[in-house]
Amino acid sequence: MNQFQSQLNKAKHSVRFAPERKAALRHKLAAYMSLRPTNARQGVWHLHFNRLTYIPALMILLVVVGAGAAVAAGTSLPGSPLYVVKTHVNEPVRGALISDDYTRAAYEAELAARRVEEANQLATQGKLNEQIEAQLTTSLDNHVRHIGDRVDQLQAKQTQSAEVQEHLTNAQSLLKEARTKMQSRNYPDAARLGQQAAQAARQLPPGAVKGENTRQQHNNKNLP
Amino acid sequence: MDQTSENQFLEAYDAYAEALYKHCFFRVYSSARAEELVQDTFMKTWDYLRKGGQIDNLRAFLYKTANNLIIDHSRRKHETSLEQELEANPGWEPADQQPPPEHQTLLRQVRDSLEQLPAEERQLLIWRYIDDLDPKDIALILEITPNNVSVKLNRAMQLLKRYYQE
Repeated sequence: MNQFQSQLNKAKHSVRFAPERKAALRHKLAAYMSLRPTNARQGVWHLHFNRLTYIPALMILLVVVGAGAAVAAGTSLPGSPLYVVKTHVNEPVRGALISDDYTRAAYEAELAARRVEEANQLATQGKLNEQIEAQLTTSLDNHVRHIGDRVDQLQAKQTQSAEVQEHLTNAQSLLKEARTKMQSRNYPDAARLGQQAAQAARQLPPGAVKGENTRQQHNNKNLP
Repeated sequence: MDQTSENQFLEAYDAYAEALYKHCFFRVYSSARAEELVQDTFMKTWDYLRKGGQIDNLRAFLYKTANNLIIDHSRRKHETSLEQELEANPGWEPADQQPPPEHQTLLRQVRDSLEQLPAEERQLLIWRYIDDLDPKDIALILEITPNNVSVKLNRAMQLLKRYYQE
């Protein structure tokens, strides 16, 4: 048996993806990706193309899409056609590419803060209705729950220090407080608390998580 | 999809392509086919993401996608016997990518040992000892419990032990 494991180990190191083949495949993949628009974007086009009443919106959308729908989607608010690109494409893709638990927890806190800020902006513009508010609150709750999931993962892996626990728990508490402020229609305070929560989750000390990535990566790399 | 997402996905390619290639190689014993599988795995994953799919663990998702593609590949090859397959496919074409003779012997020995096992046990051992995935990671791919994975791994090792004793 040891003989097999030793053979397997040697065999593993004898096989390698030739660097030139790997680079060629990378180019191919990049070309493939640039040729494949998101279905969410196609969905938006399709929806509006069949409805003449939306032609002005379509014209605006054409300009926006031409300039980069995803960039525009980044600042879009609920009720905007590009909001679906933001929440169903941009954010999940970025989230899926974060591999370590505590960066992901910070990203979830960032998304939660965004939902609160969106409610605040819509309220300021007088465009916040009950349906959108319910949608944003549900989304906020989901992000807070995901932070908790990541904390559990860190605990299970035993890579979590007391400081990490404190920062993430603090972020969760601030977000729950923000939710309460939203319920009492105090959106500016809710938005402020959301920002504080995102900052609390982001500002972890170096080496706070054993075996996980660095503070610099945590702070910036994977966060939009 | 913005440029940042594309760049991040390419970073994921940089991080996981080599490991996936090794995994695929030890499943199909063909460098050309392994490369195709890596390509198809990343393209399918990109398609899934751009359609709004959610991925919690990208590494596990990539392995799962690769596994499905390998199963499709083996189904297509079903009519060819294993002997014919190994005969026709020495495992390291194209010719310009052939490893040194001592590596070829080693790979042949490993392949012969693994081929003694049923497909499921074989893939488990590859995940565990080639890809260095722990039972928890494998459980995510197979959607079973880590405990179940450990039991299956133990069974696979017992089968292999029997083969070595014969």
